[in-house]
Amino acid sequence: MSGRLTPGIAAILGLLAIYVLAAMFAPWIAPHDPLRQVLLLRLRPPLTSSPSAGLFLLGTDDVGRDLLSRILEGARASLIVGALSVSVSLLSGTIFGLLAGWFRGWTAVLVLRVVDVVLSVPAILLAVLTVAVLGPSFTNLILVLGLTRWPRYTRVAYAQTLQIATLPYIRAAEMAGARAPRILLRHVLPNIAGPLMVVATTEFGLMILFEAGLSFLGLGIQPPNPSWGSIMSEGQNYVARAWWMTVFPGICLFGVVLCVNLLGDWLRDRVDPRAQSR
Amino acid sequence: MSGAAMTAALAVTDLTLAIGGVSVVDAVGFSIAPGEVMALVGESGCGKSLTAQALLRLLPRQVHQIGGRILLGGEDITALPERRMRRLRGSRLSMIFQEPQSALDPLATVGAQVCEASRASRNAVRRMLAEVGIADPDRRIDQYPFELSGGMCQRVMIASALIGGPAVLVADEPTTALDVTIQAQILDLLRRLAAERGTAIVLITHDMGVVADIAERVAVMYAGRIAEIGKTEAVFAAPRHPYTSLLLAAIPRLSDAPKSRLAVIEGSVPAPSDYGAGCRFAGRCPLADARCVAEQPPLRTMEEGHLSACWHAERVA
Amino acid sequence: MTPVLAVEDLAVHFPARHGPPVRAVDGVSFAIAPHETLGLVGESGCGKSTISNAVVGLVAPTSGSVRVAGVEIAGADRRTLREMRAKAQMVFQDPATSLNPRMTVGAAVGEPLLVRGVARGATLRDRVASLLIEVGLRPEHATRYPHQFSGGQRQRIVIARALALRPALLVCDEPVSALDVSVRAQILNLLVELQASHAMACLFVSHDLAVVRHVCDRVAVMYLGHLAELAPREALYTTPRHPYTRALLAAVPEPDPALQRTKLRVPLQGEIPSPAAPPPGCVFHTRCPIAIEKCRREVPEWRPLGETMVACHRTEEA
Repeated sequence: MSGRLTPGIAAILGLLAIYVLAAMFAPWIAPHDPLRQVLLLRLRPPLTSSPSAGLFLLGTDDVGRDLLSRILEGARASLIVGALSVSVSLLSGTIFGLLAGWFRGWTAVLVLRVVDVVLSVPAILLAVLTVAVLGPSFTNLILVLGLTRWPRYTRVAYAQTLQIATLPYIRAAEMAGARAPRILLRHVLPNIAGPLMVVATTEFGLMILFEAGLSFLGLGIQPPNPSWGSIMSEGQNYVARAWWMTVFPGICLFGVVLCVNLLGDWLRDRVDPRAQSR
Repeated sequence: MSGAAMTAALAVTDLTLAIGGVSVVDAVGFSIAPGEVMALVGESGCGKSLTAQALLRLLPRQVHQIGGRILLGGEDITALPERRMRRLRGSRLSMIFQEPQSALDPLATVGAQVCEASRASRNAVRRMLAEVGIADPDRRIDQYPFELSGGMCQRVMIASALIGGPAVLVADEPTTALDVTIQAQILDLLRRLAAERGTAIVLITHDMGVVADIAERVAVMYAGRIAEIGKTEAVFAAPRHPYTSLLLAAIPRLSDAPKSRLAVIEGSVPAPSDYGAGCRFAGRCPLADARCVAEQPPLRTMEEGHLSACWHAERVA
Repeated sequence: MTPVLAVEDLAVHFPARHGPPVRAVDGVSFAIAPHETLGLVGESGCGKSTISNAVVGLVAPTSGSVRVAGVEIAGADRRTLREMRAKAQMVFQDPATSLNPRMTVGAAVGEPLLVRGVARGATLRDRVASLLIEVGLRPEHATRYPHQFSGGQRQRIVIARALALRPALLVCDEPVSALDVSVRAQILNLLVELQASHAMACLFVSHDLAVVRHVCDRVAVMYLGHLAELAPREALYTTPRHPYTRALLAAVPEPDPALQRTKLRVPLQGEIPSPAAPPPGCVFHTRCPIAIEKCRREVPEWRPLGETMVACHRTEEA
């Protein structure tokens, strides 16, 4: 994939824009209340219409809630969780990486060893532990995801900072009299932002998957609030009778993560310094 | 152009290369006799490196040869199928590059790399290494590039380029990355090898001092075209193109008056997309007039073997 | 008069991961008077770049003294170093990496002034504008980014940035080596003009002897961490005393075929030794065409010979 804005990439950006907008405006565009149970209309297929309750475009779940509305609300949840957890890990990971790459010595040794430790802990185990200790909640979900993913950014930030620190314009800034905070913020950070953005993009997709997975296991977003993962979890008992409960959230999940990954690939091509030399 | 009675080792006529629709090398032509050293000199962007790569048909993917012919020892190799071209490279036509340490495979020994060029025997390789001036070839033959200095790596490259006994060697900035005392050694080596083996050398460089040192003939390139071509002494002593004349005046020499003001060529080299219909140097030339801007001057013979592409060639001081 | 730069017995050794340390600079002494330009020439591994880094405080000396405008840098604390850095600025070799690609030219040139609180806001803009004009650019260029400029123009921007604090010493580390010949001439002319108008001292580091001759008053020749010769410009180029200087001068190809073909060669055997394992005695003896037994054992003294300072055993006889 080249770095230019092709129709392919425009389509991907378009789809992601739809996702983001749908997620942000979910409460206003959802046709039904995602929490309202209509027990008489349980497990109805897509396009079921009832004179009293209205149209259920994607069908209903096991307690009669509108699937479309729940999916929209779930999109919102995934977007918020994804964005927040990426922000937490991006911020903390970058800071550690910058400091390790700039000061090196014991700072780097310490940071890198912690990175090794965190990367060795399986995310699921950490999630279970955190939930067991702190109880399942939205904030704790962000916490868990943030705690496990920051090393990805640290490694990139560290390697990039090491490379940039030797460049003449950094030395020139030192000679101008700039101190470490200014150099890191004005000179190093803007120039390592590219690769970090690439990581952040693919991490976003991963965070959505993780959230879905954790919610599926009951460790993430708690019922009755919907999440794509929990909807699929509720649907696993009805796969034969009501395939729509697992298929639609699954398609959404697959679609969003695929678009995000493709976007990440495209960004990486754009950010590649070899491509920039032209 | 050299007026030699025997077949030229290499003859290039009207070579034209293009990227996309834009021509980056335009109607370049020259010929070299066996054993002769010819320099292709110019600043960055003049097309000299692309011309060198075109000779071995090793152009980058976006560059296409859209005109001209290349004759190697009288044989037209312009349209030769890649399979046969591969056999030519290394055996009749070879190339050495600018960064010796990165041109060699870091994971292969010196001996293996020189062997690979020609499938020569170990003895032949050892003899070749000695001939290019590597002391202690028995030890060096099994060493890896990282154990060798820049100058020695360049000698190894020369050895692998010459072991097949090629008729023509293309040297793309072979000494630019080397220290000046090492450069002097390598230039001496190239000159000696050309004379002893009758190998013609096409030397690509931006350094006029290097040209003055070993090149018998020189072609000065500017913005994809040859501006001037002729015997080195003639071109240096009495340049017939304003660009050559200004370039020579812009170089600081050991014989200059110190802290003197160096001649400056105003402006900068035009990009290929900005080439006009007329002379490409017209925008920066002190002698340019309306005709220069409108009409591209052809290469005209000034004296025997000395050509210049300038409407005002007679007036160049 | 206090020299702008006084280096005494400077040694810079870099520890190697295994094996002996790299002795980049080993006992070098020289001084630069105000308004003077000293050229420092040598080939790779001679230590000239290390010296230029040490002089501006980017590399800590292992031993010896470096005084900039009378202030000792060797072993100085961070505050002294930071103050001293206002007095000595550097022009780097590669215009492509000397400027932050994500910072406007105006911000880059003005950074030294901003960071030290010398100027802000409108005053800063004016100072930046006048600096840009001084180096042959226009004030409008301040809002553009480095990639929009050519190599020669970027080098001018780097020079403007170096001049911002009106340093007493300008250190130029191969400032024209990465530029085309025709652009080189422009930058060299600029440097000569600026030296005169700013009354700065300058340390000009280069491997190109012809370039050095164009801008320098005195020239020092380095080999493997040691000074071989230091002489006024004409003396060095017309009567070089050290065999390495002679070899270097002979090796520079003159762009004049008649001259070049009849030039006397001083062939040097072998390769430049590694700075991690310098030869004993005179470090040049392994390649010297006139080395004698004494050269293998004794390090030659750095002593004056007329206006020249030279370190060679054979010069007593000459």
